[in-house]
Amino acid sequence: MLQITQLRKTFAEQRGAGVRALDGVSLSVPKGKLFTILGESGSGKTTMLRSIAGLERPDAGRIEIAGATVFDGATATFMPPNKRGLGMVFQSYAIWPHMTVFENVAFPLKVRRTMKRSAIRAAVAGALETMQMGHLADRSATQLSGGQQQRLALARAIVGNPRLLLLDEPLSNLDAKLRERMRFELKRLQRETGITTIYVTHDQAEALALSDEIALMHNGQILQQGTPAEIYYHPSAEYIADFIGSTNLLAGSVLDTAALGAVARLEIEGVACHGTLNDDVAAGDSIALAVRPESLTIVRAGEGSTAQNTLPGLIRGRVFLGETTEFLVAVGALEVRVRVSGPAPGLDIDDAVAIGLPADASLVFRRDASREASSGAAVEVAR
Amino acid sequence: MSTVGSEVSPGAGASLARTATRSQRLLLLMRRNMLTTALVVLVAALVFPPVISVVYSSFSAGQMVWQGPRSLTHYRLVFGESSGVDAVWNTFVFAAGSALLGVAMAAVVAMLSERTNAPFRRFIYFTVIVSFAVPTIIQTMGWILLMGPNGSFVNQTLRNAFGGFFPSIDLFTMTGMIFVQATVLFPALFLLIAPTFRSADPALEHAASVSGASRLVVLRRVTLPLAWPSMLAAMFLGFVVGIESFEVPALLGTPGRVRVLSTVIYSRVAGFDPDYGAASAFSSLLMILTIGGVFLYQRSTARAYKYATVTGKGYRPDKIDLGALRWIAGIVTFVIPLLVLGPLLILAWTSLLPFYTPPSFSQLSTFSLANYRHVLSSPDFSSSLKNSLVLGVGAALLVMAVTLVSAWAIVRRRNAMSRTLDFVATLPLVVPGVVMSLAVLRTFISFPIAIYGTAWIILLAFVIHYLPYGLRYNHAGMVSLHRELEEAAEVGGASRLQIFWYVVIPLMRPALVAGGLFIFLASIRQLSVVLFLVGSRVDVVANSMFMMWNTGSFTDAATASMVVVVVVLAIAAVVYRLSGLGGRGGGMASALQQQMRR
Repeated sequence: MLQITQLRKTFAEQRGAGVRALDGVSLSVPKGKLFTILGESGSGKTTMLRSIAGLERPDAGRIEIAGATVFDGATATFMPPNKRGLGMVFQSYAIWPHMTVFENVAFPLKVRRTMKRSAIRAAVAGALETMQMGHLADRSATQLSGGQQQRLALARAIVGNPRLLLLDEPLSNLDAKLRERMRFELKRLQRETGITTIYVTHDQAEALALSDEIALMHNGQILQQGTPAEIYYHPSAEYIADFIGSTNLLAGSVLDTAALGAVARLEIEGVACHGTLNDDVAAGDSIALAVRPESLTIVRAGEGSTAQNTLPGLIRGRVFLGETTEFLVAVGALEVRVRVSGPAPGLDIDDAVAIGLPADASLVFRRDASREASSGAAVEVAR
Repeated sequence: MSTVGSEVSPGAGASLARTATRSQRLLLLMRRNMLTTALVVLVAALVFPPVISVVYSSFSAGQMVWQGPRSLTHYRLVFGESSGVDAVWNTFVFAAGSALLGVAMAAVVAMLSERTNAPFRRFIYFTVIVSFAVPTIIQTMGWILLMGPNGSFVNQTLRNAFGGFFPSIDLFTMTGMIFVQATVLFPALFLLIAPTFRSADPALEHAASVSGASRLVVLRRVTLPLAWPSMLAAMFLGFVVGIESFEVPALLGTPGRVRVLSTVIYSRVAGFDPDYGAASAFSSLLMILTIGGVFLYQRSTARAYKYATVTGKGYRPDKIDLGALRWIAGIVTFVIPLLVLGPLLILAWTSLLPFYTPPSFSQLSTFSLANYRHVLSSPDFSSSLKNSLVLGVGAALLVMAVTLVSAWAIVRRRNAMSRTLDFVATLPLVVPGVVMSLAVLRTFISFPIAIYGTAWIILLAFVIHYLPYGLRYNHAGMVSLHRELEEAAEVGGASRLQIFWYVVIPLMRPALVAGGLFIFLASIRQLSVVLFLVGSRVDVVANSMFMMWNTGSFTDAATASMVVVVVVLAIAAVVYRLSGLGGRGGGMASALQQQMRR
């Protein structure tokens, strides 16, 4: 449905070389999917979305929507946004304050000048009904709550049966409760309408919850593309492992990779253990072992861990979070987060413990030099 | 779809930009920005010819614009005679003096009305709003009737009270001119300064109080320093207005033999044997002074913004309770606005009398509406009133239309071409009204299409003159219009024209109405821009009142003043109501105020 090939865009800075917002990005989105572009601010994700919409003109590359080329740098093809037949929800919602709810939704149909008044009325009513706000049609747009504005923006975006629905961080202006409700709403809307949707966000939880597929962008490039589960359990780079979910990144080095297949023998804080290879590494390389807090087990020292790898440690902190309890454990110079379900009685601060790392949930990444420099301590625990 | 390999080079545009020569880059810039380029051409075609013709003809030996050898004859003449040097010095003293006095008055009234419980706050705003409908020429005439040399109200009263002991006040001096100009400036300067006092973040003062500072120390060390940048900006604005001012120097300075550049230019051109060369040389000097003033003003407003704590948070600064001093402060907050209203009151009085006599009860019996019948039935006056209204509406519509599109290009397309547009459209700001009048006259007197002597040439001069003001209003409005509101329409399938019609124009309405109203009112007040463009075939109210005054028809001039003020106020009120911006008077004040923000 959407095919993007080698897209490049550089923004001229006041001084200097300029910022590479898109650095040769290619991706392909199948029909009917909810596709998320996930990245931190400055990763190029918004430039990507705006380029698809036609609000930004890339320097080079090609964009095809439903088989039609809307941009091609080589032939200087550029289809303006109003001809692309898309729906878009903006971060600010961009609700026109001088129009009623009805007029806002009717606008895309009105400016096309192809529909009769009665047909427009029916289509708008349908779109408003889908968003469960039919009763608000005559309201002035300025009298809506944040959540209602959000729905209105969605209704306006889908009313013309767009080929693509583009969502630019649509939930970022809502409060936490409402945001969770709207997640379900969005998912339902997408499933019911079947509109191919491109969703841009910096919120990894949102991305995991909503998407059929995720493209993770960083510095104008796509680092990994895959299903939420793939990205969560098999991050292809240390950056992703760190960015998605909470992750312990334990610094160590490779002892041995020979004859072990996908598993390497490692040394972490003087303790030998095993991890699943993600990058190609050789003996002696510095690595980061990525392991999620919920994958770890924790028992009192001496009680005997069943795990393949155990690291000895001391409990430094304990936080009860309701469904789970999180421990901060010192392992030599490292700090490790461990999350267990329930209140975890019998384990307290200053207790000596053994942490169990399942080898199949511990991914070995080659230490990336820039990150090593920035993070002296080996642990970076996430958001 | 075939996949293009990674070896594909960057697009044509980018590679061209990198390797192109200067002229190729300019061509690309123009092709990518057709609309902006077209606007630059249009605005430049309006702005440059008049300005260039004046500067050029000041260096011509003879009286023609383009013919004759280049020479410094006119400048030598100007600086050769002491009157030329005097005029430059007088202009400076007049402008600086009136700006200082005006700012002092405005700051005191602003502080008392916004930060204390001094009375008459509504009265102040009332006079400020009314003053926008009062041409300076009217205000000045009123002052002469109030305080002029012979039989004026004040001098007469003083003589009756003290006999001959009290020396009579002479308004026809530099001091008199500065005083009157300061009262003329007061409303605009007040509107510029008042917001800084009103919207000052009280937390800044509380912080000082909590640290142990007394109320006076807080005032001196926190409140006033915070307001200082805007007072400085107001001072430079007053200075620029003073440099360009014509009415006060013409009516007070001419009989008193105090010449400034604008009146010197007028006398060189309006005499029997016009000396365009010398007038152009004086005009160039006047423009240089103005450029200096405008430069200082813009720099000071940039700084005033840095201190601005206007965040729309709805601060309610603490009002100091003056206690017993309240009514002493009340004298100030009553008398200073009265200085604005006083001239109108004496004109109202005069308009009812057969001939001017200072107010007294004995005169009440001679009251009649004869003057009104006379003035309203005069075809000359009614045609000039009609001209003024039509020209005001025309100028407002044209300027707001051109500058709306320009502001859009400047705000939404940030590139070299749009910055050029901003610069060129702002340029008329440094061309004083008298100079603009001369410049347009000199450019179009021999224009193939005979617009000289018609209303069209006045309309043209107004459009050029008010471009910067319209642009400021529209610019401010456009900046506050979120880009995504337009983009949503664009993605929704609207064409550029549809976006403008359905989204931009409706949302810009407040700025369009406020700017249009400002230009309408200002062009009706305008005298200096039309000075050399009016004639027997076409006249406007400001000039026809100037002529009545010059020929000694004081009662007619007074009556015409009252008619103009009432008609203009009524129109402004109706426009304001209909536009839906209405509500309290403060709304109108703040609408007019926008103009002052650069």
